[in-house]
Amino acid sequence: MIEINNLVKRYGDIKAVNGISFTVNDGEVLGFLGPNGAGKSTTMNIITGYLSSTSGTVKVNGHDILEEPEEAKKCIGYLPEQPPLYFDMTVLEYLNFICDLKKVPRSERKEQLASILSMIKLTDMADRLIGNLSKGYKQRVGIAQALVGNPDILILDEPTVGLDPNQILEIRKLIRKLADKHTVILSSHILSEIQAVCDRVVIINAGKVAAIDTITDLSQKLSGTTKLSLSFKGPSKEVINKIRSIPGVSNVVPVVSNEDTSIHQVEITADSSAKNDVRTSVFYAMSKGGWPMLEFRSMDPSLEEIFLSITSV
Amino acid sequence: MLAVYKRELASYFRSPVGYIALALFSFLSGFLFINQYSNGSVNISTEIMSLCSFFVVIIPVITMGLFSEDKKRGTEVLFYTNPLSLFDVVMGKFLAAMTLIAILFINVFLHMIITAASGGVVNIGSWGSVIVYFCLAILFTSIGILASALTDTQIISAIISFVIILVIQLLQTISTIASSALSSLLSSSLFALDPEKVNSVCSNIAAAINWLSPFSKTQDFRYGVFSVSPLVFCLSMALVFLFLTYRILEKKRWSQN
Amino acid sequence: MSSKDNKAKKSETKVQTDKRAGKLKLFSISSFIILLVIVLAVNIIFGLKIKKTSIDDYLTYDMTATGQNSVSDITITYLQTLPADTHIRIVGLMDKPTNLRDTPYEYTVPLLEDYVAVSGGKVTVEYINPTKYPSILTELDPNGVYDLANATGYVVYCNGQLIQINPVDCFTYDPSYLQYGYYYPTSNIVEQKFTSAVVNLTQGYSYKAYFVRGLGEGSHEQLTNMLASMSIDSADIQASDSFTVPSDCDLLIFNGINNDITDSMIEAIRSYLSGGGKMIVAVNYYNTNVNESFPKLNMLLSNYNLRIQNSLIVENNPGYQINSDPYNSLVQVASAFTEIAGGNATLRNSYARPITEADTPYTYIQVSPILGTSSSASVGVVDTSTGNIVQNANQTQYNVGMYSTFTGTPTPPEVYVFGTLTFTSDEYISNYGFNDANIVFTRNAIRSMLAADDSVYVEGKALSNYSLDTSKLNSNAVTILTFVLVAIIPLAFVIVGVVVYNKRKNL
Repeated sequence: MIEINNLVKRYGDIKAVNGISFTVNDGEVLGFLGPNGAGKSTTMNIITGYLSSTSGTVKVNGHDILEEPEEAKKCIGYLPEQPPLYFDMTVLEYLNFICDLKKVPRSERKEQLASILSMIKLTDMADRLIGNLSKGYKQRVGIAQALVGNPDILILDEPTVGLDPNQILEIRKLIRKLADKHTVILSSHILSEIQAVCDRVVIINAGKVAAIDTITDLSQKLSGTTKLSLSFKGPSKEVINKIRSIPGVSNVVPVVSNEDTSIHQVEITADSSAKNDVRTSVFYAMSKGGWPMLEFRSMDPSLEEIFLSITSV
Repeated sequence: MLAVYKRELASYFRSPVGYIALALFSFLSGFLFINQYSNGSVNISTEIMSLCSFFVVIIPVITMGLFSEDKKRGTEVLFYTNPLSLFDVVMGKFLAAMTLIAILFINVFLHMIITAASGGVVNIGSWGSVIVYFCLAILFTSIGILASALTDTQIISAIISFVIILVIQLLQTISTIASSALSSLLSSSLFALDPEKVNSVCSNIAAAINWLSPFSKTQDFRYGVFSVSPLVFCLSMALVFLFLTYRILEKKRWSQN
Repeated sequence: MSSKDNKAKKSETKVQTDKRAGKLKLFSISSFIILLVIVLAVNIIFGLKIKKTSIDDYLTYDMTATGQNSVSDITITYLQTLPADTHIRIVGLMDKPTNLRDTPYEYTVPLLEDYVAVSGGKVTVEYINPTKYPSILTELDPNGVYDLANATGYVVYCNGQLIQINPVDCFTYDPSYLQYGYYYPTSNIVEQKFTSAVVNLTQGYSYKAYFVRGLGEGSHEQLTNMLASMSIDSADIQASDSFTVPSDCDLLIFNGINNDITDSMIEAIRSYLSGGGKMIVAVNYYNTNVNESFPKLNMLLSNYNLRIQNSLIVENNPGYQINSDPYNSLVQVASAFTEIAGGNATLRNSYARPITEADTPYTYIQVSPILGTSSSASVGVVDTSTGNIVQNANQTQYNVGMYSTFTGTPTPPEVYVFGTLTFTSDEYISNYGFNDANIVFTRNAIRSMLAADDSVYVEGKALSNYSLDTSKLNSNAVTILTFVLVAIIPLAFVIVGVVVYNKRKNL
């Protein structure tokens, strides 16, 4: 369990973290969502003892990180934003070094490393030089490093950043697997990633907690409005008016319009709580008017919009 | 401590750095030794004292990356977020550097054996010189480590320790130059002070500067005269530098910036 | 009201920093400062003085086998016998040397510090450069009798008297290098010099010896050192036609003269000896003096039934030869002199002249042989036309040293005559040191004549000889070793480094 109470971190006059408080319960996967520069990494660095806080307390399994750093650190496995890797070591040498650092008993070491390597699918790479590995593998070594010593709590800072989609999927799968045995804190600036992996989410913006919610509650809150993007061929004014008249549609904004080819793109804001799905109505309206739909898709809300929608509720 | 020690020591020999240091040192010491040997007379102390004057180059090369590389690569996170004391980290790195220096020194032991086998003398003064060598190495390595913890660039760290060690090596010269310059200034017509008083003030200043020089403190060892205070001086000063390094690293725990 | 509001606002905007961080900061900074203060204090404490001696000096140990840099027990005991208010100032007329390496100060500076350490405040050492502090010269020598203006090195000062000691003179040098202009020290007599200076300043000299100069003799620096250590002052006296022996002369020395004495000297010395004078004569048969038969010196010696022959002793018994050299050999000590010889049965001689009785018929003259060759020795002379040694076939025992004194007189003269220089010359002492059996003999002989007190005699300390055993050192071995140490070992490391680097690079 991690208790974070009124955490403040100032850099000069700038408050990178401004009064964050939340609690992470045992066994849950907590998402830490926020745009770049919101204070995610700073908070995580403070929790793990890498940075000091200006004020506020962090307690890890009851141990204050400032007063009992060693006890607190024993419970945590940390993957910082930039994985702390020695490029001149092989994967196995590196993980053995981490075992030494975390004081893993010699008798358990071989078994533990073997299970970590196979779980993370690094067994084939065990004797490769870390500097020669691809970005995805380096990230995995970073995760492996956090897993050494079987800590109760895993703190992963942007574990999927810079990876290709396949690797992202694998890492997400891995995190879900880890969640069986560990408490996980995961930071990201992508909502869908948090939704895919986490039980609960802490959304922060500009150093403050914007919301703390379970994923289901969040989905409900976010379900209030939907944004749709539509490209079509036809007279723009007529079409826009037609769509506006559909019940549930609150606004239609033209985005791109080309009078020569009469291909236009609009953004439709709709009230998704309405009983009838706006999308079907739009489809029928378009086909009725004989205007071909070139593209029709729903748009992910941007983080700013999420904050807006959350704070407006 | 052991974890950091093992990694740092092994890393010297994972990269070519350790081997190049070994090659250079064995060439250098071998050259100094053969120079005496071919003349039919070998004083190991002379060789060791000559090697001491190369500390100004050897120590920065050995210590420059110890902390600065960790900072640059972000691996220092490991030391802060794992359950170990930062003092152990400092000591681990320090001992790794000292071990490398000791491994380099095996060359000199080889020369001692050759000397003894050729009917030469390896006397108490030779062992005194060995003690001096390691005392100075401990002191300078601690300075190098401090320099490495101050910056995240290897080159800057090397320059800092190079300058500090150079100044320490030149302290004796500096003290004479400073006192004679000061005395000629003060006794010039500008101030017109009693030259004898000026001289006594200046020689006290020179003595004070010289008091800091580990070279002047330890010079009797090579003649077989062992005394406690130079050893205490070198080791305690090394402890001060190591402790300062530890404090600087630990600053992150409470720093408000 | 408004100011109160402002204050309230300020305190709101100002985030209270964690007090614990402040505590850690305080702890961090103060712990470092405390450590620094402790370390500095400990180091400064070492320099503190207890009874004028710093703690550092008490914790200094001379580990050399010969005690090169520590004061021997003889000196310590002597210093202890001195009254507590004794103050001996040793003043180095220079800035304190800092780089001692390979300079004479290498052995003087640390040793003098030990004097201070053991003396309990009776001895102080200062370094005062007279160019910076001209007043030191008048302070030490107010009447200008010691010519300190040209002095270099040390001055030992006590009760208005002083003795100058130049560090360069505190060593014996290998004469074979000296002739090429190199100073290759063989032993260290720093303590001998300083201790005898201390003794002579505190006790005064007991005796005075005169060296007769101007007869082609060599230097006598080392013998002077030895005499000084026995509390015997020494001075030179020039051989001349108006030669007189000074009234304060206790011992007259002819050390390795190559020319004969003058007529006036015969009578002057004879009258000096008849009043109970003592004399040592040492001559050898070598190079420049092979044609010198010393007729006038022999005339003087005949008063004591002694005669120096003009020939060279050739030792034919291989058991007596040193390194199979018939001209450098061992000589037996006559039984009457074994005590003076310190129990040694044989001593060394080199290019010696035979010493014989002069057939003077007076029975009050008592002559005793001191040193004899084997019974199979012969004599030879240099043929001046060829330069070869022409050897006499007769083999018998010859004397290399003889002693003569008178019986029945209250103050008898005593004369030692050596046909070799191996008892007195600088060259021999430099080569073999003050502890050599021959030099011990000389010292004991002088002591027996003058009853000189040499209880505070400090022996020379052999310096480490760093030479290698030349028999193990041929040019091939050196070449191979050079190759191995300077090329193969470094290259091997480079190769291993490259191999490791390449292997790991591709992992």
